[in-house]
Amino acid sequence: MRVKISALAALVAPLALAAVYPLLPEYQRALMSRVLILSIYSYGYAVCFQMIGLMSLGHAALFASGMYGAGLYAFYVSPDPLAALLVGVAASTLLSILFGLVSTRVGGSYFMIGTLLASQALYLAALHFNEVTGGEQGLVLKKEATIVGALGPLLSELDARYFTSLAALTIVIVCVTILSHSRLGRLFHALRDDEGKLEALGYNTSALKLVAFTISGALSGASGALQALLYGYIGAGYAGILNSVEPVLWVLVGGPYIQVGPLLGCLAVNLLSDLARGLLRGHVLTVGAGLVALAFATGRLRWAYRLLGVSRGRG
Amino acid sequence: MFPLEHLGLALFDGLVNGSVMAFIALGLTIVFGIMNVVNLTHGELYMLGALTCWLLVQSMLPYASALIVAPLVSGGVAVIINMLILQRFGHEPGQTILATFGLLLILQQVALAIMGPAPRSVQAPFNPVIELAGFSYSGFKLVAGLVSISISLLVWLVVEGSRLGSLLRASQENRMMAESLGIDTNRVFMVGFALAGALVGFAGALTSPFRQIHFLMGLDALAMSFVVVVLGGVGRVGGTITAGLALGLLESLTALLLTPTLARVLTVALALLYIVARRLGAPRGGWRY
Repeated sequence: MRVKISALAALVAPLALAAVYPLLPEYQRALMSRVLILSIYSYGYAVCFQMIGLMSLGHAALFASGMYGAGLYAFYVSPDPLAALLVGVAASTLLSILFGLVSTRVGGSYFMIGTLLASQALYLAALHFNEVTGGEQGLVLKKEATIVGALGPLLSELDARYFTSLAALTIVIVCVTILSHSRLGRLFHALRDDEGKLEALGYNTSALKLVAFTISGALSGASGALQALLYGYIGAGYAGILNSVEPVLWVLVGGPYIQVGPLLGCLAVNLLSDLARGLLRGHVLTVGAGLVALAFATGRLRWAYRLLGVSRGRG
Repeated sequence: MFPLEHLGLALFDGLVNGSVMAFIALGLTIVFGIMNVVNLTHGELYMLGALTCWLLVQSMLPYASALIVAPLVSGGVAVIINMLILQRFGHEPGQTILATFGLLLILQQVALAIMGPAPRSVQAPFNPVIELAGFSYSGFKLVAGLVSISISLLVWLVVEGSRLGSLLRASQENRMMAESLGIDTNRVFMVGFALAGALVGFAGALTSPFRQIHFLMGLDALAMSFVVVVLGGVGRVGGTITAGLALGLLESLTALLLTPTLARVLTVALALLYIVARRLGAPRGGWRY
């Protein structure tokens, strides 16, 4: 019954987001479009963190590879947003296979250190090749290379961003909901809860991990690609460490239901952080304080404790 | 097309940089290698040491005072973090990583509020140019390298040979057993954190005359420390020193052909390859248990 309610909530959420749009003032509309794009990233992260219980500290690299794949294609090759989106997702999917391979061979805190190092290497590489990537300052895409530009005749810039990201998010929510109820999703949960038993039953757990990472990477990359193509900007800042840890916070704040949790967590953290702008000198401090608070709260949240405990069990 | 005329300088600079790298990683060897606590604030403690040095020199105090105050500041912050936060959940890995990641971001922002976004620098107290075979070298950097390697060797002796070292290992390996033998493991961990913090704070002050002081400098120090600790063999102080020296040499030599950033990318990638090849953290015989 609980599962059905969360599945229902997953279908209601996009409708609610569409219904609330006309009521919002302009600033909140812009803020919400950004949060919706990030929510896709949040779902992507949840697929590996929440479903199979692996806490990666390098997902910014997956997000950024989607962003760079799409952005660089649109900037250098051809100003075609749809092709650029596909290139971005393909790039991050390829990279996620590397992460998946790491996860099948390395355990415990070494997995986190390994993913941290992987994303740091890619971040430095993005800085090094700054003649191509624009480095920290980034590149600005031509308007006709972006989705906003392509939708220009139909929708205003603000509407185009909001509804494109909402449409993409809806597809992601439906896919993740279907996945979580499918046989594959249940295998993911079994992998999280007891990898040894699953292996004893004859399942190939390495292959399952690879599949989970590929899905996770594709979603994270799609989020990065949309970010690039809706805002027309790519920069190395998105490959930084902050972008790796934020989804951990979103997923843990969002609660145990993967159908809606990543969206709720992402909304809650980003809206709170926006409210606290004046109070806490910015977003980074909010995220930092949130992580410390969560570390304390985890002792009381059985669900979160199990998620983090699983990462420990593999050490 | 190897630039031979710079080879001597590269080798020498590599050794000096390597000693410094090993010295910065030393605290992480104790906390992560021996005590098995994934302390992601290690780099920020290094940054705090450098920041303290900058603040002291700004307020007209002699550079030498920083070498005393910076270890106290970083060691103090490490102890406070351990006492108020990490000890509360018994250094549970998942919670520790969340909390230390949060603290990393908070410390960065504190540093940003204090020194602003621009990189800062500190004048070396003395800096004679030393003429070596075919090249000249900064006298201060040479002294800093010598100090780094000497303290590292001393810490190696202490950790391998003294009671403190065995207490640290015992408290990590079997906390319950150590407690029932009458060892106050919380106090042992506290000493470990204080030592690690003080060492890396000292390193921060020691290196600030020849490195840029910036509120984001801790991240690179953290990543490189993990690289050095992991490549040196986790928990082995001697290994950390060797790995630091070897990586310092490797980076200077690759930087001759490529740029320093690319050399860094390759070093980090090498460490990742090592972790994957050695299957660190994976249960013996694959995942089957």
